[in-house]
Amino acid sequence: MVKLLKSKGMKMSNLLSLYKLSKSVYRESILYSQLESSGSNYTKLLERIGKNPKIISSQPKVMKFLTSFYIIFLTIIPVRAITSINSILHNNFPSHTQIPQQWIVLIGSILNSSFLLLELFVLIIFSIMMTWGLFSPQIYSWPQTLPLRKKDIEKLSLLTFIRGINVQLLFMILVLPLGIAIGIFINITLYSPKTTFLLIFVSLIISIITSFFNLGVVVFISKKMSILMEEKEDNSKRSSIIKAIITLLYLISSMTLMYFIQIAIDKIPNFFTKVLLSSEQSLLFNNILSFIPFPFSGGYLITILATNHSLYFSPITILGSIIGLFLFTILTYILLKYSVSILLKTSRTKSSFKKEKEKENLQETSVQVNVTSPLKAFIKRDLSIISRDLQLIMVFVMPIIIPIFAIITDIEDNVLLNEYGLTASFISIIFYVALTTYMIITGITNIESGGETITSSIPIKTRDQIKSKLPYFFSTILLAYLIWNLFFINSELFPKMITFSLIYLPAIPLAGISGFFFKIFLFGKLKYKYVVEEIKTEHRLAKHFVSFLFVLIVLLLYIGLSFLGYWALGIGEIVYSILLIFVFNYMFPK
Amino acid sequence: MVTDDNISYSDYSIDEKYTVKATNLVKRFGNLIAVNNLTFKVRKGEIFGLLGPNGAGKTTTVKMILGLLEPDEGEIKVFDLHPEKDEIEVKKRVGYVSEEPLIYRSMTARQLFNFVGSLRNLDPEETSQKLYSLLESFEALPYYDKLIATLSRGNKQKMQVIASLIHDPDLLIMDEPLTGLDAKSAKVLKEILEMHKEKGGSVILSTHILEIAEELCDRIAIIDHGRLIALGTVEELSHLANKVGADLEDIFLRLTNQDESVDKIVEKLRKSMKNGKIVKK
Repeated sequence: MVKLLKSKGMKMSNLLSLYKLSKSVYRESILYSQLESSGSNYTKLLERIGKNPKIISSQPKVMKFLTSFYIIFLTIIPVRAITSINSILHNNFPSHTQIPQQWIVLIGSILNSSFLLLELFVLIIFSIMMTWGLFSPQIYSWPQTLPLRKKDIEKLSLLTFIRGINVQLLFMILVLPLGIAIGIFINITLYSPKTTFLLIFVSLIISIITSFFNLGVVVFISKKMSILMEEKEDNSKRSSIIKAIITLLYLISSMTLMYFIQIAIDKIPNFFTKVLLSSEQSLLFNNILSFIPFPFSGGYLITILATNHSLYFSPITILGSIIGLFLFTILTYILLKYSVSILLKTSRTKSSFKKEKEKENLQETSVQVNVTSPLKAFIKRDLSIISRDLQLIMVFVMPIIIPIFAIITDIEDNVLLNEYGLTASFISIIFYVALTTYMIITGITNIESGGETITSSIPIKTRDQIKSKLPYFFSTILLAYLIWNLFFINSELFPKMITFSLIYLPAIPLAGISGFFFKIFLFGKLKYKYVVEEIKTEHRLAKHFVSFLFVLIVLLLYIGLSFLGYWALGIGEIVYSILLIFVFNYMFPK
Repeated sequence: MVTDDNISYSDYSIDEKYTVKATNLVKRFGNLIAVNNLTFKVRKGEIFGLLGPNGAGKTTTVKMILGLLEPDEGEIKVFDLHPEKDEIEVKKRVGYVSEEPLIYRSMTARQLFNFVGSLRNLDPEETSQKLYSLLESFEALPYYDKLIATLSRGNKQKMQVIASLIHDPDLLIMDEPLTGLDAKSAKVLKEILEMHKEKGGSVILSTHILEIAEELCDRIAIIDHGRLIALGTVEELSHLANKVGADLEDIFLRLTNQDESVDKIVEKLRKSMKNGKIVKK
């Protein structure tokens, strides 16, 4: 930075120099967003960054890669849509005389439009967490002390955003025309050079407009997200819950979207053959949808150009898509102008993070220390921390969601039709339960490292710490283990599934608690006692892996025992419970 | 007399009442020897300074006193107890302020003190009164219901200082306690330390701010590269450094062999600066 300033003779007016400078600001914003969303991992994250500062930049790199990968992956949608239409019309399979032309137009256009829409969702999902930090005025406080003009600092915030999204933007612009080119190449005989050029050119124009529109939307959402994440002044439970719900919805919708994209891509040809509307109804939809600027006008225009040699398009549909695209261009221009003004203002905006001095506390503060038992104090503290820590909330929510997704996949793939499929699916659930149980174990041990100063000087008994965590630990893993049964309530499989689940039910908390103890054994063994915190951090990854394996092995051993007979399983559970009580008393004495 | 590397220190007898007794402490982190054969004692009713440059081993020593780190060699006793073995008993009588206020960011100060009070099993009425008086003294009452994450560095520091005092500990271990505090709060804390000492309590004050050590500490241990360089009162240290009448800064630089390097740096700076402007080559 200093070199850069010197090299420019302390004048930083040209864009290139500012773009170079934006690297530091971008890095600062990433660190800021990482720390702000780290919750109970705050100290650990700082420690990790101290040891390896590359962590700061590796996360945005991964996100850029993931976004680009998904955008490329999404191109399968328009490519398959076009090739499917060509296959239906030219190979006559299935007989296209049974499929109304307007239905083909409708589905083809919806698929092409969905590509444009999903591109936006992918960008939001993978970029927001990296870009909201850019909207915090705090990250510009240092550049403001440098000899830079106000206008340069404003430009800096714009350039920093572009730096954060440069690779994604490039992919968004190029992927659609390239995908279309591939689609044409597959059916090269159907396209004249003139049509080929026109199609690629128009898709490039649509791609550019859509990319800038997406950029505008991301700026808008990032700004809102930034305000939300910074509003710490209001520390009420209500505001914490709202934040948690929004993050939760964000994560669930991301997962659901990614999941359905994969399912939908597999089934593209089926959408054409399952005719749901008549030709007239489809035409009406085509005429209406083509006028909608985003995402339909672009989608319709691509379909028209890609298939006009073999499909009939009504003049209204053609006119609608052109007018729609024109409106979309105007809309994008307005949104982009607004986004640029938001970005330029970012460095000038005062942080919504109000310093405590700003608000005078006029009321008399009542100071009353409420003393409870250590066990209750730990539970209260844990719940208080979890309710305000988004990462921890996710640690407890994800274990419930992941098995549900697993079982939906199995239902979708018709895995559960026979006894063998049922067993295989159950074992996969066991694997997910092991994985998520370990996620919770790691999450609850992280709570302990958040308040090092306080806990390190307080007479804490590890036994109390462990006991306080058991109620919510057990309830979460048992809920995660049982919840997927709800999908079978109306099914004839339900009695079998619920019996299966109940037979192995005691094994879940037993495996969970033994994994918890094993992790403490590996990470928290001191000379005279065991502690919940991760003290022995050498070979960290290997220790985590071994602890997870331990949970999995215990669960698999139970399944193995059940093959000998349920009596063996029952005896195994009783013996293991006694052993665990002994281990608990040995490791964590009264 | 305690000796290390042929340097003689203080004159208290081995039988004298002490709070902390560290003997030949060694702590290694991989190849790095953070604490190397460290021996010292902290008396009842004294403020004991741990002085040293950054990375000298002060915090590691403090963590061993608290039982948070196990010494690889040597022994440490606090109130004649083993801080790792008798951890609960030791911690009941210790108050600790760390260099970085690593307190729960997602809790309000009220929740934090409820938590501390519960785990220390304190009397609610007595503790409430004491807490009120401490919060008032540090002008921290307006922040009692604020989320700790929203507090400034100084106010976080006040909260952790208060948390270390509410149970009336016999030994206060304070690692850079004045960091971030305004002048008034710093003065209040210094007075609290003096009062604590007058009551017969001990304080271990780890700092690299020499003026504070000189002002507050009865005896000072100078640590560098994990080794004890010198131990004694400011006067004793000045004799040891052959700098009678000098301030602690000069004594410290001499004893840690940094005085010559500082002179060289200053000389170099003088050469590179002319009329207050940096001269380009």
